[in-house]
Amino acid sequence: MERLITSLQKWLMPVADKISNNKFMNSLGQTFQLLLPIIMIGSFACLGAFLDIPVWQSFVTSTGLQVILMTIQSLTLSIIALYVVIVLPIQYAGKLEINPVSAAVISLMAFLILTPHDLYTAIPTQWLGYSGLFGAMIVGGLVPRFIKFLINRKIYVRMPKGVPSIVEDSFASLVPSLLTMIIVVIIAWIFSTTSLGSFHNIIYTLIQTPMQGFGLSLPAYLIMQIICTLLMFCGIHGNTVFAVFTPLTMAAGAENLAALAAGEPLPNIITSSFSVFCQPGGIGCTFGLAFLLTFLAKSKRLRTLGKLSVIPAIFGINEPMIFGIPILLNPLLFIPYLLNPIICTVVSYISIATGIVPRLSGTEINWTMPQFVSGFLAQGPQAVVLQIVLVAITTIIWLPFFKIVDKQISTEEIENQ
Amino acid sequence: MYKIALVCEHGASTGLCVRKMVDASLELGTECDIAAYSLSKLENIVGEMDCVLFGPQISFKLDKFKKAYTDHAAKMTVINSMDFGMMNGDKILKDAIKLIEKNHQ
Repeated sequence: MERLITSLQKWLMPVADKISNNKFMNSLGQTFQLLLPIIMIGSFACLGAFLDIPVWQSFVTSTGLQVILMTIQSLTLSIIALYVVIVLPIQYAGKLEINPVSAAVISLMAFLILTPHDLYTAIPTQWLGYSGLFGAMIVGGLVPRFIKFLINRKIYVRMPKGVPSIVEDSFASLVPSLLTMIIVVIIAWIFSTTSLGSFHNIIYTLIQTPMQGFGLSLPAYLIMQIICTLLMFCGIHGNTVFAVFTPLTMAAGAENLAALAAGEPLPNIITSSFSVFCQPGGIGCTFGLAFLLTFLAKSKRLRTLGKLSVIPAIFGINEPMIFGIPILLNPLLFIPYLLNPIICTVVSYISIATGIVPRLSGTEINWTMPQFVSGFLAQGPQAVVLQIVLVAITTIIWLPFFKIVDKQISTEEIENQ
Repeated sequence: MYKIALVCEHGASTGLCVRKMVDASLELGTECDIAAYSLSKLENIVGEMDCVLFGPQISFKLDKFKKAYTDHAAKMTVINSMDFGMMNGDKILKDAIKLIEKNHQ
């Protein structure tokens, strides 16, 4: 066991550290965090407009509220790639130490040139939404890199001394703008001659779709949950690993919402809100454990810890138990800690795949949303029932292990007195 | 007055701890300004703090931060994981004050 833990720390830590130190991945994670309000507003507006309850439907259509909600969705979630291609370069440029605003402006220009449009009149939103998400990530990643490359090679317009810095700045970004423009015009033209028709369609067909197919499969998602769980066991927050999956699951959620709006069957089982099932009460599924500690613990310390942990557990925060029992590096508690997320993920996937629980609408759920409320918002009453079942299963799995640890600690307490 | 920052991934679990520490500081009678921050805020706040405490879950990043902010390395430390788990605000605060006073000497 000791050896397992040391090797976990030896292998996982560098990987987690690499990912969390990677400037691009880091910027991408921050971008989605910053855009979360926009995404949530859009997804709830969509849910409000198309929620399939007859009373609600007649209310929103008769009052005209539906049009307002659809407008909100249409200008937030449905053009999310446009937001990404502005915010991502700002984040990334900051880390590359180049001018963030000019990087964002140039990225936006490049993205729009690559997007098929009607001259002077309209830009269809087809590629501005989730279908254009990977295109936006690629443009938003490559443009700042390109600007940085030009600056490193000292390819820019130099101004004589005494020129005000604002003038100098505007000329400084002229060369990168011009070169970027020329390159994307050529790329847009080359891609338009292919059978797929555009840059966006090529990225969508050749990169986004296969990556989603892989990333949204049960094995890949399960492995990600296991890695997050293992990292936390070593005392490392696994969020950075999760961030790699965010673009995929978010696009999947947007896809489901689009299908909901169109009245079509929902395409994806795993969306970002699928995570409301996987770790009830925090990593290791400790929701029930908090209640076991509070009501059944013989040890004084564990009982105090339980009282401390119940409310945070409802919001998915379990650091008090991780560090307080501690679950951290405790070989015995390793078993339920790792087993629970696997069971929860698999049971949830099967419940949705077999249709016992309907597919999730794709609304974006904040990770701190209270247990059961999160399930209701993600899908509805059936999801809440599933959450209750999962809490029951995980509590039963924790029970014997909790009893052993409680006995150990309470005996120690008595001996120490 | 001592300015103490608690930092973790989202500033959520350390946020729990802050309340306990504020209670402890009132009892001690030491005037302290204690708040929790998410990791992304670190670079904005590190300069004005007397002490920066990291949640044990991100202890593996301590060395990186000490290198990134060499001027402020001495005021950075990781909260003892057992104290953090039991939300022992009193002990965490006393340790922090000890560190600050050591640095001021």
